[in-house]
Amino acid sequence: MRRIVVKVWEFPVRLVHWTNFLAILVLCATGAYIHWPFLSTPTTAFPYVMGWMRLAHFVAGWALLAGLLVRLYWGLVGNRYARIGTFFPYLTRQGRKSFLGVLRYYALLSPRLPPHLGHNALALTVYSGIFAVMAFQVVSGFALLGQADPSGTTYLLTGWIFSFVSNGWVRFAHYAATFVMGAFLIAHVYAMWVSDLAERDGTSGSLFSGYKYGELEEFEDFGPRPR
Amino acid sequence: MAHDPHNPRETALEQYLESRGVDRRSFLKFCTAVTATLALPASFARKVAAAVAADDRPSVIWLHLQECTGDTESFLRASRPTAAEVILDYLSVDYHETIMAAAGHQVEEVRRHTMEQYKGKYIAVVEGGIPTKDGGVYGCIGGHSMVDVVTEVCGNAAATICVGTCSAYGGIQAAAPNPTGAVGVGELLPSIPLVNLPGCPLNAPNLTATIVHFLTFGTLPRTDSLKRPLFAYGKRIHDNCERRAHFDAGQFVERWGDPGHRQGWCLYKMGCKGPATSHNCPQVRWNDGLGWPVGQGHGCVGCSEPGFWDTMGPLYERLPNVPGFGVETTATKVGLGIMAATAAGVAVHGVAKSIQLRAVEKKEGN
Repeated sequence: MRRIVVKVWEFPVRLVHWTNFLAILVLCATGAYIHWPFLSTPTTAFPYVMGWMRLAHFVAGWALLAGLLVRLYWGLVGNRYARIGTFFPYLTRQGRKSFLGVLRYYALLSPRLPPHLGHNALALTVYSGIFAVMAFQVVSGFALLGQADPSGTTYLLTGWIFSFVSNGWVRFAHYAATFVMGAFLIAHVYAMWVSDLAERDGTSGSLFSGYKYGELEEFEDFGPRPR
Repeated sequence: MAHDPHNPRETALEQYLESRGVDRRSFLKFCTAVTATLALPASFARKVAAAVAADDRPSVIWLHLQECTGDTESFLRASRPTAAEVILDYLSVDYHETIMAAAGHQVEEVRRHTMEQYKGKYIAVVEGGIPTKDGGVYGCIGGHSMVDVVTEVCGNAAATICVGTCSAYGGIQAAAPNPTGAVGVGELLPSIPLVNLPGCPLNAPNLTATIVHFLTFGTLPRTDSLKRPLFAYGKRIHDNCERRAHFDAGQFVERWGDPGHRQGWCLYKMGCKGPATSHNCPQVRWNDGLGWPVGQGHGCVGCSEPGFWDTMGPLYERLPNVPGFGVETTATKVGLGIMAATAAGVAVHGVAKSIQLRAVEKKEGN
């Protein structure tokens, strides 16, 4: 058996992953403050704390929007592991089989994941959901921001959400979805760790380098060209 | 300016104003203020004054339906007769149940007469929701259901102005479970020319400005998707609030009567719905511009938003309670619970997976 190395994550994919990560961290921290301003300011020391928190929140929101757009574009032009179609593995028979294999892996029925190079089938499914949550956060966030100027472009593009639900529930959903992201972060980091442990394919390192490692036979199933 | 009975250019309204002690200067000040409320350039004040003073003002029929008369109170409760009041008084002589002297079938005849004589030309002002359930039996005036009265009066009006949240969206009686099937005029008659001025009660200057806009331009002011005029409902309370600087500075009332409350800090953490409510209350206020809820130290309850009884609660919390979890269950509790469950789940799974992998690797011999 030959140990091989394959470039899986191209630069834009890695870049967006980490800008999204940073943006989400900032959004969660500042969002928590905006929801419940726990810093009680003295009158003179730092007189614009909510203003700065909101500014950071909005800048990070723009960064997340930019990240999503770049990723969407790369989903059209990137390599096979980046394509949009790959996020819906349950649409193919092979993908469904792989999906069941991942469920067996997490249910401790099998020790190893089914052979894969990019993400596994369950991860892809979860990521498509998380992308939807992020998209919702961007739309609802900009809608809430745009309310300050109902004749502005932001409101024009996002204000339609208020014809379905009232402002209070948009705010509620925007806040509640943050916890979905939090729970995802925990499960996501754990899954990476356990994947490193079980597969030894360099998953965590690939987040920075883009390269994954494995046995040649594993990759032949999916048919990429080894480097 | 002294009143000159021989001045042919003086209109009936101007004479009426002077007889009530409102001089020309006050009248022009009023016109300028209304021009500003309508967000028109100052040069329009002259046009507004000419239109308001003209003698061809339309009649007004003011209907009282399912309501508390709070909207009428809102602008009759001025401490002194203002130009706005006198003009409204002057305009609405035809039919207004609270302030008209006549009563009974006699006055219903007056209403009918006005409707026939000025068909398609008068302004209908509606205060109160309309009970539609069971054939509209829950509200009758002079033997006719409110549904019939509104359909007849508003259907033949040049324009309908819904004052207050009840006539705009049904109001408190439309709150779940809405036993009388109360609706606003716009829901009962979706195709008539109509403008909503919600609020509980409405801001009187907004009504004056809407009428003046109609007199000046012959049309109702531009509205949003909820048929509310943009000049009055185009901005959020939160963005025009006198306490906004305290919000930006992170100075919040934590408890009723605490030092921050006494200093007039932001009511955001006390559940103020200013960030969710579009209205010009901070500017126009009530009682001759004297005060408004947030200025008085109580958070906004969003009274001018559709269905606020159902959608703005709890009034003293930032967010609605989580549906299906009973009252007092906040999104924070549920959210942290989900995260804690995830953390506990992966911890247990991690231990189990490690044991499994160790066993497999021992068997495989690496």
